[in-house]
Amino acid sequence: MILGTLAAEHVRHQLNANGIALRVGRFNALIQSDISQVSQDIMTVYADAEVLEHAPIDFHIQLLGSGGFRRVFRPQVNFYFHGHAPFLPLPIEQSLPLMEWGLNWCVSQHYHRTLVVHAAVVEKYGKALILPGQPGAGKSTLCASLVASGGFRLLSDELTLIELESGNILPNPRPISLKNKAIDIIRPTRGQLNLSRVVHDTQKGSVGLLQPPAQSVAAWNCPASPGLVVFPRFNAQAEGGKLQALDKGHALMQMANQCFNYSVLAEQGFKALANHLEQARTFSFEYDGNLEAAIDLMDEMLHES
Amino acid sequence: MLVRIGPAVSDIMEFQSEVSWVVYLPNTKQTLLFPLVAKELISQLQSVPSQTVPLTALVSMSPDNKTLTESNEFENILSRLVSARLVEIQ
Amino acid sequence: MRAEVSLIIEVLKYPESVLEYNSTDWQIILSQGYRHRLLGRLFCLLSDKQLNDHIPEALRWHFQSMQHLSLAHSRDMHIEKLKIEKALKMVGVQPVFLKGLAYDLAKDASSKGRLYADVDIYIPREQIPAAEHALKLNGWFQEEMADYDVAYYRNWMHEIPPLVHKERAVTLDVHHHLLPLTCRFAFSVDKLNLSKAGGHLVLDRDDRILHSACHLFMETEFNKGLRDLSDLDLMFRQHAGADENFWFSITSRADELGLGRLFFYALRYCHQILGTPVPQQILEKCHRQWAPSFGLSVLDWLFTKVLTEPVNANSRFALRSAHYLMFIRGHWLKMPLHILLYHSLHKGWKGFMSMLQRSENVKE
Repeated sequence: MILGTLAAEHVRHQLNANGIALRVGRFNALIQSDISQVSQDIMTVYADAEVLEHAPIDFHIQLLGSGGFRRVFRPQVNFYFHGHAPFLPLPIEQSLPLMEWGLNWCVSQHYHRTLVVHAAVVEKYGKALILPGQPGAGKSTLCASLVASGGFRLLSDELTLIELESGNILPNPRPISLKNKAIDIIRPTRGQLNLSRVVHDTQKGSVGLLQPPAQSVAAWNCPASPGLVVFPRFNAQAEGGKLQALDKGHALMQMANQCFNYSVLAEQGFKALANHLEQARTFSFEYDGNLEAAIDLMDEMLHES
Repeated sequence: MLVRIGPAVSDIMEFQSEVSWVVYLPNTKQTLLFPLVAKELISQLQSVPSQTVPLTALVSMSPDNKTLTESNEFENILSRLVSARLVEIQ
Repeated sequence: MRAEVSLIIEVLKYPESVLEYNSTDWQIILSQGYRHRLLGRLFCLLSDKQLNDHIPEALRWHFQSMQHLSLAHSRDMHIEKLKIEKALKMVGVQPVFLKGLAYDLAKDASSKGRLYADVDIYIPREQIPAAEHALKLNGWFQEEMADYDVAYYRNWMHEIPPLVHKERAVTLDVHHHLLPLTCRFAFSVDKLNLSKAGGHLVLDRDDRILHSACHLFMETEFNKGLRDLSDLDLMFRQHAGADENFWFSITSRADELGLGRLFFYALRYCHQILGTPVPQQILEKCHRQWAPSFGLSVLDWLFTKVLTEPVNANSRFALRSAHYLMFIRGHWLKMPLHILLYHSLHKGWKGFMSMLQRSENVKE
């Protein structure tokens, strides 16, 4: 059963009472919240998430309003992970972004069965396309349009999970976090996909979350083989996009820097990266914001891979 | 100055691409990037029976000694190899 | 809630208990393991008894990942240890490693599945200026600190303001005494017994355990209390099993250093909470000699509370109060009243509140 089939009132009530167990990406989370906005938000971006019954829970998450005077004066939201609060509270409007950051934190700080790289990753033709990138490089925008209009499957917009033995990518399909300008760029091209209400003035500016396609969510347990690793960089002058082969040694160094648990996994982490890169092709990509051209290019490259 | 392969050299993991050589050192958990020529240099050194050679001889041995010596790249690579203890200088 | 509290304690006491656990129990163990930061420890204890197959497959990665993290920490600490020794060699100082790294070096059972926040070393006070100089030349630096805090460290504490390495970002605490200078239990550091472990200096067995006990029972923050109590429990069990003279030896050592009261608490609460097999006559002897003359039942209640349940801003009133009282007690033990009053004007309430919210700004 998926969340979208439940009545909104029932969801709100359950969240407030014992919580709702959902498969978020590839993990099982029990989510509780006394904030009514949270239930609407979850219904919007997790509509296709499987509702779990009697399943083991990886992350017990609570989004609770602060007590005392904060109930009325500039209300705040707290994120609890198994009963302890790893972050400072945020304004209550930011509940959904906080939950998403929190869920990323749950994985990046605790999951050491795979290498966890800070990168977006999508799949087509069975092959993974990894897009590592500094904030502002446009990886989320690219990722969102590849998924919303390019027919690519979303594996993750933020955490690329590289299996240690095979070098394959494990999907963790969750809502795509869009920031600032990216929100208006993606909004008209998103088709049937829900976009959450946009929250302004977060630490990262404005944030909106895009619902992942149902097929991507359903395929949470289908890994993808190594295909392409593309380091994007926005450059208005690079007409139509400029793809340049990148040395794999340099690519490895850059990816190692973008890993959350490279130091935890030590040799195993190095081996997993090396293994993935042996099987993939690596490029740097300057793009001018022409997303259609970028989609075509990526499609073609992956098709050849 | 004599150059000799350091003791840690056997204890590495490596990844090689067309132009570069990435070394992982489990003892210090460092990942280091070298131009591929560094690897060739070390293998040349290992082929020297005594495993010690004068620095000047080493320069002439290096696979592409002309460009290396001209660009000062050689000393740079050597000093990085030394600080990673892949090569020891006596 | 009572039943929940006792589950993780049950596993620490008798790992075999897991044979009886159903999926709900494991779910509780997982949450408690995260809250007490003991998942790695549990994994090790269960592995020692070939019981880790009983962890439900779907939840096993949590335990395994934390044990993996602990191994990685341990390796990082050993790399750090060599760098510290190398830096200090320049000025002829040989550091004594304390706490986590010492457990690891001495192969104490308390090193099992442990996470390390920082490195702690002891250096005789007269060598501190040279050591500090050498460390700073080698990339360690002191983070910006208010003048008040610097003075606080220099005048009253047993350590210099923490150093951080500029590249590796590991924190190094340099101690010149094991207890705060103003502490009610202060003893002369000349009396410390050292030993070598794998070629590195550590406190010898009894002093190492007593140091650990002092720390826990003079603590102001108890959110890692159960972890620390389990450290003591594991060391007690290990060394009592290996040396029949152990209990006598450590009891007389506690007496010699004037640490009897703190040692008594360690024995009492290890025994009461984690079932540490302390011989009855040792318990009785320590009780006669070192138990406080009044208020022990209040302390029992407080210690049991704070050592078994971490606190946060949403905790029930009784738990928060217990943690707050112990916070005040910890400071009281560390400083004479006039300093404490002065200090608490600067820190007191704010410090406690920040402990409740030991949290960071959201980053990624």
